Amino acid sequence: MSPLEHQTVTELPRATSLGKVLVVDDVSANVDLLNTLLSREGYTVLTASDGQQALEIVAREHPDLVLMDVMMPKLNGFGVCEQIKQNKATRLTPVVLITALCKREDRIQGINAGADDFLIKPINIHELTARARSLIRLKRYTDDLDTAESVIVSLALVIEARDAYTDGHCNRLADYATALGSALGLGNEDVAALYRGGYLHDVGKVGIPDAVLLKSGRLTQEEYKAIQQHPVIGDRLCGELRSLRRVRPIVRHHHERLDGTGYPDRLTGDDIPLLAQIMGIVDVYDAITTERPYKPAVRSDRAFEELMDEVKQGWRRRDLVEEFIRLMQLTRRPAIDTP
Amino acid sequence: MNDDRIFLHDMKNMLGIIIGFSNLLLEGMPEEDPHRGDVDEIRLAAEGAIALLARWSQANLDRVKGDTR
Ligand SMILES: [Fe+2]
Repeated sequence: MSPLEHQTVTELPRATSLGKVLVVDDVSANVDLLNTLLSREGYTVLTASDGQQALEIVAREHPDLVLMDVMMPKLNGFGVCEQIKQNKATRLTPVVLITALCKREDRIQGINAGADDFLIKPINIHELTARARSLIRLKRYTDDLDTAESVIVSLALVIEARDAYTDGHCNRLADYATALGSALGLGNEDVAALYRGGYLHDVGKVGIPDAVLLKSGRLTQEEYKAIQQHPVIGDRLCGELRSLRRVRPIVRHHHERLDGTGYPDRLTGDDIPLLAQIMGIVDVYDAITTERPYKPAVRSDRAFEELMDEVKQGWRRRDLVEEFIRLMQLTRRPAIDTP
Repeated sequence: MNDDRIFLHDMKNMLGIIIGFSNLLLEGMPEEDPHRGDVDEIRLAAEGAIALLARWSQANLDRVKGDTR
């Protein structure tokens, strides 16, 4: 066989696309760039150069993801996003807004328009593909949920959207928790429960007023008590849904600690379900490494130290935390644009 | 202020395109390609320009704050 023949064999086109992505930008060089990056990763790419065209393509082609520039002449990205989210037939299509400015007002306006995520130019290819992958996965997941469960999941995402600082938190938690679960050798059903748990763990926060949930100052004792009710409310919300049977313990017990100082049931040791312990660990990690109203984002190695401190205090299982740290260090990829 | 924002946006946009395509070129080039260094220079310059832009916008912001005080 000649080298040429060999090449045609190995370079057969992929049988299935990873998903259909619509790229919207009025600057054609940007469209070309994203098109090249995404096609190379195995996505099918559709393109539009203005908002009106984007809306037509979304309605006709049902893409799995829309990547859209915010600043466009005529109908801007916020406007298009709002229309996609207001239309019943397209509202579950994930929209990522791309902006060259990282102003907080932009994010807030984007969240109000219903955007699922944000990317900042210049775009980092790893970040782009990671977001695309997890949002498309989420869309596929919600595509085949029963209606009742999809209502609860959308509820969970509404809660996330109430607080600009927890943006993307559910998504990341689902990723971290399933990664840790798989690394620990858990079965498929457990890993699937962790995935759903990532989205649903804080669903009970619907029952907590904004004034308490978003408060940036110190909480009064009563407010703290109210917050501690969220696992109980969430557990009740998941209620009798058969499909959520395995997720409920995660929702109820993700704030318990091994020494019994957690909430709501003050469980100790092995009485805390393993899946809830896993969710607890990744929840803490994400909270530490993300910016919050009362503190800036912290580097991951500091977060690892804090997690190990919690082990020493007797709150978390050492083997689980160590495995998680090992996993995170393993999968941390350098950004492509570091020299 | 709004004009500044549009300028900042468009400028970053252009620089992002330069960086993005430089990265693409670099990824497609073999390690020993003699042009690697040149493309690297293009990318570094664009990154430098983005950093400059950030400093410029911060200075502008400070000036605006100073004016209203
Ligand atoms: Fe929680």
